[in-house]
Amino acid sequence: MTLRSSNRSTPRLIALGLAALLAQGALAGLLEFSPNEIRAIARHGPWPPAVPRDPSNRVSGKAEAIALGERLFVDPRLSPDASMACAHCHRPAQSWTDGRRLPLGRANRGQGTLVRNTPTLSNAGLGRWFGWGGGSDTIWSFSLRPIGHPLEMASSAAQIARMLRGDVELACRYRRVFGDPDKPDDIVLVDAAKAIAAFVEMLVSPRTPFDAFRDALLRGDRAAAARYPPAAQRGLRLFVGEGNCAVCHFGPTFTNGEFADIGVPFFVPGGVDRGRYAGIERLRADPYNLLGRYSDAADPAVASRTRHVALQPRNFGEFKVPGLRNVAKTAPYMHDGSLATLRDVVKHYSELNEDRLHTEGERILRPLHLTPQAAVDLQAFLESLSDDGPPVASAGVSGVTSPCASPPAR
Amino acid sequence: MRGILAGLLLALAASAVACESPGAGYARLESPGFVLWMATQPAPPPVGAEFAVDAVLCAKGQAQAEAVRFDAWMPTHRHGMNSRPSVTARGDGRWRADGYLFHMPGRWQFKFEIDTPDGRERLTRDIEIE
Repeated sequence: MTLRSSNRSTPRLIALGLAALLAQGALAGLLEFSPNEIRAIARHGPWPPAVPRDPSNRVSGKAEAIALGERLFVDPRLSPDASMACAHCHRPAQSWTDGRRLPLGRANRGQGTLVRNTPTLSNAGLGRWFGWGGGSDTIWSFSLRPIGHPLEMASSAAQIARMLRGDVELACRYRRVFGDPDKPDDIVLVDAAKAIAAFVEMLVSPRTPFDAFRDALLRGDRAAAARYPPAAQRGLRLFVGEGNCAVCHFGPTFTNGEFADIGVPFFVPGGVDRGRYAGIERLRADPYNLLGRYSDAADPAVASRTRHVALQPRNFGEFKVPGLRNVAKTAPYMHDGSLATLRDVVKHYSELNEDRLHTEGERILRPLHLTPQAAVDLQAFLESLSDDGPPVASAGVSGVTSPCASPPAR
Repeated sequence: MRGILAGLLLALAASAVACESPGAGYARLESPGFVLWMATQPAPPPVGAEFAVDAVLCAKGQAQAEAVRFDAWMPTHRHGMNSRPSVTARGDGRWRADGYLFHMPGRWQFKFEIDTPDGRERLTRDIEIE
């Protein structure tokens, strides 16, 4: 096309040029993503999703159960010496984890050592397996483990039932959600875990700079997309492309919900952590699994994943693929908390030790051999998966007023 | 390599109807002795959620199937699924396998192994999952 100048057309051309220049300036920071890349980016949203109700938990999604679960979550009386609540390790202000390499538990009392990093509870309601080894198939059955673990709450069904029957407000709340607490202790214990699970299901992480970018890209709003930092865009391109990260860190939660061996050592004091292998064994032996009598699901299809899970040699040393939302807020990393920072995580994948991987395991894992700039970019992208709001000061998601609530002190 | 025993098929007799497409969405697989039609429910199969496979098997001549195994794997990753489907016979050479789960995007391969008195026949179908 040839442009000819004339008195009439000049102002219009200037205006067009300025507009183009302005647009160019605004878009200077937007990479040209290919259609394949845009499709891959689109798969990581939209966010937030609707959290599905758990059909194995009859109080899932019920407001008064969520409120009771929140009370229980922060109540140290779940442990018999009133020393430890769920919130002791899953701290709201730390993205529902504890910031420690390994949880302290009762280790400071000379009773042994916990060997796995505290997982965040954010977005747990979107998961399929729970715990680094996936030894539980519901949040409520997973909640029972720390309650009974001798190095954590060291509690019992009798303790939980006694607490729920003996506290006037809790008993009132229990009655409104589950009926009369005068029932066998194990039933009261499972009910308590289901209330806690109803609360935990509500812990969905907020939208992030990545989500704003993704949505802008998909609706063709290039100016808005260009506000996403160039380093994060380059890191995203690496994440969905050459890095192959999105193969496991898949979908809106950035996890496929399964397990992988990524070459992190699994030796622990006194032996090895068998990871998913032990998780499946534990799952199958768990009386509280979806196949057991404590599940509220009438449809046998709800237990399908537990019925069909396969125990295989390669499960040895596999650990849960964690979701990456709010990952910048959940250091340290890996099942054993052995990597202190996101920079360390990126370095791990850049220098991956293939000798540590299963010979029959994934063939997608290769050292990325990142340049210093690429490593910075990948880290920038990972950081963009965290919301930039202030830390949550308290759980505070239920917002339900209950006739059981204690009157305010005068 | 993991196999899933579908169960014994007693002298599977192929009907003429079964050798025709059972309906829209079915893919045709063929080995020397058999034709197998397969479809996933839902289609396409999702990543990270269970799905089922409906299959219709018929013999092309006098071939007899003694057992059928259902499975899937990722050839380039050299690993299979994390689940082991359960297979139910629905009569007339029709089968439903529940409990498939593709836990990654990429190229997956459905595998069907048919044991006959003369040996094993294999049928495969590749599918790209996004």
